[in-house]
Amino acid sequence: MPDTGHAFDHPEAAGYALGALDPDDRALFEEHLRTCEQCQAQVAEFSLVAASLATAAPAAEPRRDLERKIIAAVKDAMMTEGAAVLPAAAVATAKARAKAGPEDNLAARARRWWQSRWAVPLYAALAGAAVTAAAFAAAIFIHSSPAPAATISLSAQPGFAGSGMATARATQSGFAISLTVTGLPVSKSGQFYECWYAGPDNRPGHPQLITAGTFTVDSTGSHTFSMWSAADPAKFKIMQITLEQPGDASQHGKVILSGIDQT
Amino acid sequence: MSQTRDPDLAVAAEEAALVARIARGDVQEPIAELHRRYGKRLYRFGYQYLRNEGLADELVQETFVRLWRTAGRFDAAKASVGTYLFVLARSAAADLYKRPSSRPLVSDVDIPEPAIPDSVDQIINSLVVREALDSLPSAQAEVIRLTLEEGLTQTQVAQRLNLPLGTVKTRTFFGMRALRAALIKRGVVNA
Repeated sequence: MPDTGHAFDHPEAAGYALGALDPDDRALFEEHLRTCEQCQAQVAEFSLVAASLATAAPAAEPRRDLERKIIAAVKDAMMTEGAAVLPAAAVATAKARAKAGPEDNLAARARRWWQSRWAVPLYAALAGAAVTAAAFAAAIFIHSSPAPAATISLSAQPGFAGSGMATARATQSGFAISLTVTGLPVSKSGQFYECWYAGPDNRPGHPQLITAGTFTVDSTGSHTFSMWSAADPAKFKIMQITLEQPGDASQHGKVILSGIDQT
Repeated sequence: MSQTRDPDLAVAAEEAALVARIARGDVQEPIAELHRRYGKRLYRFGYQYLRNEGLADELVQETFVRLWRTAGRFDAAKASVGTYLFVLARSAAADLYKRPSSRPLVSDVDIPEPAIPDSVDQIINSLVVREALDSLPSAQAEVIRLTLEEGLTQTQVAQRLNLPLGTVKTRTFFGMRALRAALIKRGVVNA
């Protein structure tokens, strides 16, 4: 190890190893270096450090909400792939829960209600859902229902901005949805945002989507909407927001916000 | 007689237990904990090789989704959880880069494919070096960063920070000494 006292006299050893000395300083230090074993040893040590520094990863910082997005992405994957890849232990847990009997909470009751009424004609019924009437119904039922059947935190997909929060409450005729969005870009003339429920088998080329309604946002980028859907959030756990243009009723726009039921 | 418990082994066992919980479908808390431990490194790895914040975000998400998918097959006897995560991240980075929508809108000829290290050790090494640099007192780290990342000479650093040249030289010297100690501690360079 180089002598510490001597090294303090020649702090240029560090800058030299980093290639940061100005030409005059470098020439003077190289002159000294020819005959000084202490500084030669010091430069050798610092050169190893400088070589390591060249491999350093960039000083990038992840966004604060990344953890929440990761957990949502994993739960999303569990929803869409769970049956295929669920480990044996998790399957056993699920079976044990099933054996223990049906859950007795609002979401479970809503699910049973939905299964008893809408299991077969679901898609046909949804196609006819009227958004205008829904707003009226939602306004009534949101106040009368004690707890949401679904709570979905929406986060921006890569390349997009904004966030949102949606709650769905069971009513006698379906689900009343309250959606609040913030930070969305203004929807241009002729464009509208569309809210979708995605089912467990939704994937590219095999859409399992149900529209919950459309809306626009002004320059504030923030709004709260009341919508209506017969889609059971216990089954259609994923909510997506896309930007669409008039045309057929399919989803064409990229997914801007997405989230999964957290209840 | 008292036994000394190896802290590294204890951490490895703790993290293996977190992966076992994920394998049982208990994802919320274990993934949050593993993200707190490895999320920043994974993000930096993603940013290093994909050069895009959104894709780096996506890489970290995809890595944890792949962890969930494969948690039941994780074997703590073969690799640590950290190493396993970076094996998954490397694979996810390659897949993300191949995805057409991830490519910049310029000719492939103009943008060379980023060199993803073959070895997970190389990846971890680059992240550990960054962490060692981050561990320095800010005054020392700043002069080294300006040299390293902006290619400034010591005179230019002195002008940028409005400091005497001698102060820049001594801060660089003590910073490099502290960094060497940090790298030795982390096993990146030999004592």
